[in-house]
Amino acid sequence: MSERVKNGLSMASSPVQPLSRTCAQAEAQATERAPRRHQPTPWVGPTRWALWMVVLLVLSVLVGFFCLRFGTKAISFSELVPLVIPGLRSVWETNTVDPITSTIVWQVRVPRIVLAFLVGGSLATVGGALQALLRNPLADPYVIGVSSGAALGAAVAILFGVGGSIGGLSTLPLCAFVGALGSLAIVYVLASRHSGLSMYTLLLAGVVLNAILSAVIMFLTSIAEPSRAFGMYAWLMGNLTGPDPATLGTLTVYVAIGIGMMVAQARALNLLALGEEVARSLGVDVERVKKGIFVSAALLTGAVVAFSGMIGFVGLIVPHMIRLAVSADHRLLLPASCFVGGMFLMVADTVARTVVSPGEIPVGVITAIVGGPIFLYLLVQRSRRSAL
Amino acid sequence: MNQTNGSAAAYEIQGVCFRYGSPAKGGEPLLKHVTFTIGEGEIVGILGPNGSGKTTLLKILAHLLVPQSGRVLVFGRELHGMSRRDIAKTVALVPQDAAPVFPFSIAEIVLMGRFPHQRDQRRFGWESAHDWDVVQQAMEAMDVAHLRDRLMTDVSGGERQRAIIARALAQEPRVLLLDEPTVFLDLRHQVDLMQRLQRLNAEQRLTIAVVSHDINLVSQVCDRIVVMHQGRLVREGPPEEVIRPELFELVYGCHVSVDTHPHSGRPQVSVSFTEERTRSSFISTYYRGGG
Repeated sequence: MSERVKNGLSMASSPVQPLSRTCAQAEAQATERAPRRHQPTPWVGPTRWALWMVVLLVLSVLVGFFCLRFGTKAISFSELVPLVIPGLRSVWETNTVDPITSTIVWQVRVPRIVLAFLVGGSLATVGGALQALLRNPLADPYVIGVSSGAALGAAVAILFGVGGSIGGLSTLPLCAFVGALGSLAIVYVLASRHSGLSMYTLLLAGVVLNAILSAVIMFLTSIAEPSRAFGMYAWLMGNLTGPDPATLGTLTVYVAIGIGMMVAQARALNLLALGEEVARSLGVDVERVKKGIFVSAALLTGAVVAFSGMIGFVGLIVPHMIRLAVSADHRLLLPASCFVGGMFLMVADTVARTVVSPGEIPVGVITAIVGGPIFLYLLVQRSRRSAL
Repeated sequence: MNQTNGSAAAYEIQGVCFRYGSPAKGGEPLLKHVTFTIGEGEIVGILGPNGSGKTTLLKILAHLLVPQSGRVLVFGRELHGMSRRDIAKTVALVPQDAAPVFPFSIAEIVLMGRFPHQRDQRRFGWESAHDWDVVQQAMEAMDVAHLRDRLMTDVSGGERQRAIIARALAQEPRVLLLDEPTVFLDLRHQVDLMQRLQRLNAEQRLTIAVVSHDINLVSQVCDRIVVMHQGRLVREGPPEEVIRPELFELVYGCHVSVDTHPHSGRPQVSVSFTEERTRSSFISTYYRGGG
């Protein structure tokens, strides 16, 4: 009886089995072939890239516009919109524009917000590129001491009044550029010496370099005239007040060149992020790419520090967020970091000049309060993972 | 069969010497007059103890290190005169597994293998439909196509290793160089990986050189074996000729016994941890000279 049942079962199942197997095989083949038909896959590539860029550009403009509202004198949107977009005045039915409000918006807030965008964008892009170059997700121009180097260069220029200008260019950003390049070189040599330990060696080297450079800056400030010294302190803490249009123009040129140089190397940076030998074995001219990134990182940091002082952690948080939310591909990561870094600093600066209004907090304080804990969290998370 | 017909050689390594730094500083040479040939379509295993110069040799083959003297020819062309991109289109290196730092997706990693083939750097080098086809095939050959959107930081060691090999295949190389590809893999994944490599070798006539510590795996898979010891090449030939107890006694300084694999007939090594007394009787049984 049970024999027969078993027999029956095996007889019943035997013709079914091969059939079901072929079905499964066919299905597997179909799913395997399916993605090959729509090539190239749209999720990496120019379409997705362009989409992100448009979204981020629009978002940046909106955030900037929103930030215009806030300040010592709150300006309502009904005042703001006709002021900024003259074409909408008739729609808004307000033909009279308050001249004081107009001055506040155009002479004070717009330049400041543009400056915040340029500074934030530059710092975030530099952060992203340095992280790839040093293969260290915790690298940031402020943390590893590049900003301090730039600040020392700028401090020397301010306190000793070096040159003034060479061929129409202010020497201030040039001195800051030299300082940034010098400290970047020191940190890189220290980090690449011990390639196995580079992650923590690099951070440690940055901490010590920061301490030394800050000490030198403090020394310079203490021997300077009191009036100059006060200005130095305000500038060092990160300050985005009152840029004139010419300054903004100069900075825009520096930033455009620097970011352009970085983004042009984005594909090579992808490979460098996997390791220098990997990049070399895949055909990257590693030395040339490294030099390009060094020079552009020093250029951007130098320019930004010269105009706005020390603003930390933007270059750390923003690329990290982009990697989580968008992509680690530097073709997308670097420009996206630029936009998001710009937005981040616009908002941070708005907070800095509204919370204790009519006074203001240095914006570097805000970014450090937000960024410092995130940095510590990432550090703990990393060391825990590597301990496992 | 195809190991010595000059023109078909994938690699000709002639009298290669290498040391880090200058001789004045007393840098001990890592490679001393290494000469051998890798035939096209061969699978060659490079064996040897730690510090014998295996990885250094592999890096010289990939032109990551440049020897102080001697020549390396790839398909008849001198490696030294080739551009980085040309080398990367001919030779793909799979380095030892390193923990990933950045969260690239598997597909992004494999796409990076197309770098040497993309000439147009102006328009950001977005990948063409052809690039995607090659990448898709490489991912399928290494069975990572279903993981394309997963992040390198999230997948297992075996999957990561296969993705790295897929990246090397996306270079469309004629030679694949692997540095200890099985070291972090469990038995099933070791066998799976080696079978995939054998398939690529058979179907696409891909020449493969693999550095490994796993003598038995190398013996099963490789056509020829090269044994390195203290920077010198001490033996080369088919597994049956190379895997001998006396050679391993000399090179590794430990006692092994060699028998044949029941199915493949290839030599198979087992280590004995026995006491001195039994070992001496073991040596007298298996060794000609002893030591």
